[in-house]
Amino acid sequence: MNPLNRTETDSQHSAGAAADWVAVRRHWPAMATRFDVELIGTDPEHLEAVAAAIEDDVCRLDALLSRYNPTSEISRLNRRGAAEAIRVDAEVWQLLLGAERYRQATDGFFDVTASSTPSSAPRDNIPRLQLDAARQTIRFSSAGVIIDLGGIGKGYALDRAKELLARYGVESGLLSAGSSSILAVGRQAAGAAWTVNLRHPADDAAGPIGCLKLVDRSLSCSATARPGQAISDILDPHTGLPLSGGEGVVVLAPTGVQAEALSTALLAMGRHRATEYLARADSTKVTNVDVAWIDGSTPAPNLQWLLRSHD
Amino acid sequence: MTELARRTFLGASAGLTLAPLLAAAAAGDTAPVRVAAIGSGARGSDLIRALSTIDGAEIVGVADDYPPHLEQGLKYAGPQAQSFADYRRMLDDLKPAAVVIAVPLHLHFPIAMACLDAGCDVFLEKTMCRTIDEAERLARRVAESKRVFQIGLQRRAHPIYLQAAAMIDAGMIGDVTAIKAQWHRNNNWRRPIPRPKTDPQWAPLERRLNWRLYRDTSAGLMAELGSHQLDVVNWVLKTTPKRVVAAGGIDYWRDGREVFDNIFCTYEYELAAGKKSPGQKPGDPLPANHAPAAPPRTVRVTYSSLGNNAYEGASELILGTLGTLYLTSSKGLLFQEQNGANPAAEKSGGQTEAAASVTAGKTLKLSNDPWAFRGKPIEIEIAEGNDTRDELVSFVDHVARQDPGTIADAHVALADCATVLIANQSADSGGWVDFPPRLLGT
Repeated sequence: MNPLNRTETDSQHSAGAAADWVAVRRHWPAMATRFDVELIGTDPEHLEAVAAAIEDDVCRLDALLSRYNPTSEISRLNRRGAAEAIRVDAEVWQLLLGAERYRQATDGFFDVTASSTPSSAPRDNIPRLQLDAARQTIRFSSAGVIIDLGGIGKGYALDRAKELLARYGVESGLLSAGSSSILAVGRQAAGAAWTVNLRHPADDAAGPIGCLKLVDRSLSCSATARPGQAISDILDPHTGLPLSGGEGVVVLAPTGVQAEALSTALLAMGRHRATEYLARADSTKVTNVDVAWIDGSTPAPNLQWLLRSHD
Repeated sequence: MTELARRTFLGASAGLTLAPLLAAAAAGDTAPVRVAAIGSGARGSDLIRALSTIDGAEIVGVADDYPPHLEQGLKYAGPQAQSFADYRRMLDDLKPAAVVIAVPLHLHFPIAMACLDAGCDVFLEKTMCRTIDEAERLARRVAESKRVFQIGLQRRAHPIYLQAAAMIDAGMIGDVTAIKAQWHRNNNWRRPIPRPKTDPQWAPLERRLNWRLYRDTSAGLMAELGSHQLDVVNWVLKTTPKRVVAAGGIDYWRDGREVFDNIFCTYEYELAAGKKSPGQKPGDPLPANHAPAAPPRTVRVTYSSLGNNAYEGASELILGTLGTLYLTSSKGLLFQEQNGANPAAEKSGGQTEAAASVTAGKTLKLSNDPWAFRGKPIEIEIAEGNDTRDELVSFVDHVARQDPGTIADAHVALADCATVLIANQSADSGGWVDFPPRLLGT
């Protein structure tokens, strides 16, 4: 869906770099996409078990968070949240609290309720989600509010996977969710950074338009539409209308959730507003982040860095 | 069946089957039930997480003797929950009204007994016990204590399975004549160990975290996976098996484990002849009382579980004379039998075609194409609900009302436990093993 692609030569390189190092790969469907993990270590049995534990946890989160699964907690909220305050568990609470903070920090351009019906649009600046911290409950401002964690769910799953790697002593791995979100842990076996190719956002057949090096870094890539798609499935949270244009945003951040929330928000802002936002956003909101903009409307797409935290 | 007819059917029967669970969810005016959790590994944490969203429950404590699990359980339980390394200390200090137990299988018996002795109502993860003998003793203790007891067979609270059971009762697939079920996965079933192999603590910790792989702590695939699905069989056939033959081995994951990595079983159930199985309601007089006795009808059930191919996943296929139910925890499909239908008449709506047609010079050939007789499935819609949360909503409600008639009581638990453990006995001994006759009628 998004312009990312790992190069084959990189993984061959990592596996053959040192005789003692082995790479274990595993992939599975979840969150309406494909998760891939590549773990580097010395004990393949251990790496297999860690990869399976990551798969278990991602599938657990999918079942918990998907608005399309009628048995999920988010579906329970979407069904009943307008009628009464719903008690949620600690994990869902922290996610929704985090989402609300990102909404505030991005002038509402990141909004997990963006796909709500138009009639539920916030009035008088009262947000659609009413969070009661003392009771750990969520209530909707009106009927028609819909929570969709598609904007941070994959990033959250990758962050959790990173915690599992730390718990089980795996120091090197590349985790990806549907090739739009990638989290790199440590370095490849030979000590090189993980490398990721950026694909043209509107043209699958075109060659890579850039190559990024990642060390302990999360990457999220948002594009208005995948190649061949006429209407974007990303909605502008302020107008409720699908985004237009063949554009893409790449964000590198310390965590998967940060990268996904920011890439979603910046894409919804559009390049002009996004540039202004990054220029004025104070350091408490946007720290240690890199942002690149891809204009895919031209035959030779132009990738331009709007913000660099390093160099 | 038309769209309208289908909706009407589902709406009517869903109302019948789901009402008790939904009524339970609505009860919440009384003081919350004080619940303590024992065991907060992966499954225990799932249960604690679900409990934390139930208005009628207050999690007062969490006990686990493995610190990383305890920490994880407390995170889900919330700040009001007290922390214990020793569950006995927690029972003494907090005197909870109810406990939710999710510990390795060999600890089910001693911990559940201790909780009953402490006067607690008990929710115990499946499978009931490591041995049939323990399960019998625990069931007796539940009956003596008059405490509320529920086993964690959450398909009993799952909207698809509730609907399917109601459809079978309503005769929608005719007589159930066979059931095929399996849980196939492709992984080594190992939990990672958070220490390097060179650490002297690695081996004992491995044994502890991978308790599922060793015989002194686990009853293997049948207890961990098969118990859910064979409970569905016992549920819809309304009886327990008569006997089983099974074969299994450690044939692929030869990594030091002691439990089979694959097992294949054939169960025989006997249903009273003449009984319009299984539409008979419990307590109804058997037709056999009014007619000459006929030999019982045998229903065979095949079950397999393995760990190196996930093609078939986890599902149950319930075969009836009029239709087939394909059940998984995310999808339920009803296939009506297509034999006897005239495809040409079907295509034109059946109005203008002759009732039968012959083609000169051709012999009728029945198709062997597996799709020829399936027809278009009717999908069971899930209106709402989550089986793990709903089984706990129901348990908490039964505790609040002190109603021992839970959705999966000690009788269900003991029957399920014996059903899966006799398959292990058969795989070890190599012959048919009877369901313990003394348990018939449980």
